[in-house]
Amino acid sequence: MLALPDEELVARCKKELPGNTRSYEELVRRHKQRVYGIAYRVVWHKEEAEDITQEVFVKVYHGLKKFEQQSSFSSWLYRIATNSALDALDKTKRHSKNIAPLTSQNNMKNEEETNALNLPASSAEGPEDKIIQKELRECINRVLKKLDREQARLLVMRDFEDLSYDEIARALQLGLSAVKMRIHRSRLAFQEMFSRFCEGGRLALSVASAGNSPMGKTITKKE
Amino acid sequence: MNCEELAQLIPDLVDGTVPASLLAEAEAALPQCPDCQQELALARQVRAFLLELQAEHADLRIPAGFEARLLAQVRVQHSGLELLDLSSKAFGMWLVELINLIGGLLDPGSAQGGSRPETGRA
Repeated sequence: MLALPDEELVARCKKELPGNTRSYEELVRRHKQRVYGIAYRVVWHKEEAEDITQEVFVKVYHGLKKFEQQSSFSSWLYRIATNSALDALDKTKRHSKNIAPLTSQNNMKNEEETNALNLPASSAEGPEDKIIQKELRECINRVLKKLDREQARLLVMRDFEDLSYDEIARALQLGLSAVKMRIHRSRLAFQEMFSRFCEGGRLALSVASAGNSPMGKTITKKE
Repeated sequence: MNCEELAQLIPDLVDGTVPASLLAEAEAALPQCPDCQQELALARQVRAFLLELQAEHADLRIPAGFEARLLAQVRVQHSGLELLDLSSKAFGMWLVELINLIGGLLDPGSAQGGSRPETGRA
């Protein structure tokens, strides 16, 4: 079971589900961490990321029978994960629910969240660093919400999750050169909006590209 | 290499995946295309910024017990669907009986005829 490729497990799932979930469980074991990573990097909240991960694998459970393997299973899965995470981000906007609180209100939860990030000591320590991190995350999420869904999806897949252009092209069933150019345009759109909606955004970007941590500079949201 | 050709290469220049045979040519062409230079710089900034931010929780782990919770949810949903399926079958049977009953009330003769034993024909 462990040595079987995803495609073989998918084929077995089609025969075995719903009575037998062994192959499905193996697929979950293989990919849960990656899916959780995608969700967390978009919503920045442990519990919400777990909910999204669960939702993704429930969708997979129900969708496997119809999955025709035109793309690889992992590409299909990561596309579902990215869409689900961005949907969840949209809901936080509609419900005015805040993104992972790191510095105020609930200290116990903040500590847990900060530890969960495994931040380096220099950035996990100190209230000012936490505030800067929170501001950065909020700014990034504001920009993700404002971008076209396709641009946000491409950016998450390439620059949040570091999927290769090939993987993204397969997942979205697009040509390789189209994916490259769309990702390029997504980056430019992100840069433009990040500079517009976050005071100091331009500075944070240039600091990061110079190899210094963006955590060292204050970002202030523009209302 | 003109600006248009260079612009097509920007994503690969950002990611360092330009074939070696093209790299020198692209680098030589860059000073002649200020727009390409600017776009390349901005795209590199975004890539570096987002990757650095994400790298800070590379060791992030999904909470323990995730699989058990997922499978429990899947099973609950599945049994719910089975119940729904059973209840829809039961409803279907009940509906057929109801239609037969109404048919019998509207046309008692045919209903009786339908249930009359065929022994009389013989």
